[in-house]
Amino acid sequence: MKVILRGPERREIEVAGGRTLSQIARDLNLNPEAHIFVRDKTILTRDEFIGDNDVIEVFPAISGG
Amino acid sequence: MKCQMCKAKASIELPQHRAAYCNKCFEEYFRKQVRRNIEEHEMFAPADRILLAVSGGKDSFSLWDALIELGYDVTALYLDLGISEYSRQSGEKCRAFAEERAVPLRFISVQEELGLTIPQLARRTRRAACAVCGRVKRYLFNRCALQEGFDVVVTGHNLDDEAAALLGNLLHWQTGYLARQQPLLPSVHPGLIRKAKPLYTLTERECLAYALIRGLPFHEGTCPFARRVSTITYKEALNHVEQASPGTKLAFFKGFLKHKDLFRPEQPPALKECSRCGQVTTEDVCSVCRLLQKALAHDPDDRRLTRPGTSPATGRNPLPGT
Repeated sequence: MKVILRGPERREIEVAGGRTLSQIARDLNLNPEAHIFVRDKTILTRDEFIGDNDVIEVFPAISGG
Repeated sequence: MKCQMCKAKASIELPQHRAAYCNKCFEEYFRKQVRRNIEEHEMFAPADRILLAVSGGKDSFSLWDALIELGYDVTALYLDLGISEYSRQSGEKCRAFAEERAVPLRFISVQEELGLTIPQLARRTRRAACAVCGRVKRYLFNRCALQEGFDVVVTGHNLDDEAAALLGNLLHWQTGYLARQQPLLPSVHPGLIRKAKPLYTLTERECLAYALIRGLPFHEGTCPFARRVSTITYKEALNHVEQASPGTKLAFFKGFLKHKDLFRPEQPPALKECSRCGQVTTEDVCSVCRLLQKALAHDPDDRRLTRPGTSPATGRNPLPGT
């Protein structure tokens, strides 16, 4: 599956699917409290199952200043 | 996971409230929180004229949308800070949203008002850009509100902003700042407009979710000067604790408000009008005029600072009747 990290430094990475969003976030060291995960323009809860062919966008919530 | 209100499929969970909502119920929850904060602290009334400071980011856009939906009389104010592409893109987002929703937007260029951009001011005075920016923003928000007769200046500071500021102030025992940190800063002088932060119980994540669900065209970029500020470190630390113990940020800040009397200011300083621009200050010359004096010190052609009773940069009197 593909993960698109949004924000000023946009990146795309491939990781294994077939598990929950919570597990994927933990592997990527992304704190769910500081991010929103979106698939097909729908926000996902942490228990959502992510398939191998899914594309997830990750929006960082933290802003500075 | 199901929405706790309508039992449809949930899209966002809020561990701090042990709750989850679908998109529609989350929008209602968000606006209800905003209205509750406004009413609980008597920030402003439906008849008040509100000047909302907007940056183009998710927080101010979410508040902008919520205030419009709640029926408040809101005018947005965007300050073009002159931070190259970041400012240009942020300004475009604000203009596009105001046009789309047919709502009023004031657009003020810091360079046109003060003669220099924020990066130029920071460079010439050898000060941190964020410190200069905060000072100039407060000055221009208040001045614009005074000139146009607004009742209150509203900002999109959220729970993460407030909790991070609180942590920073505690770590450095900034008792003066701790005494002043609150969701509503009442007016203590006719030349100072009251300031309110209706998002102070809502997290950045909640603001982002609201902006995404509502399809708000916010700017995803980050100010180039803000990338390494300590505020972000504090926010990350607090989110680390929040993940392990949901509700910590809210309890931290609400607990502070409950025990706020611990940080009472010893003696409120006497307020007077700046001898150069007329804005309220505790010194003879306000901090922005002093900043400009320093920044323009090496510009021999600039005589604007020598005109008494006028704004140092624009050369015009910023306050009617002064």
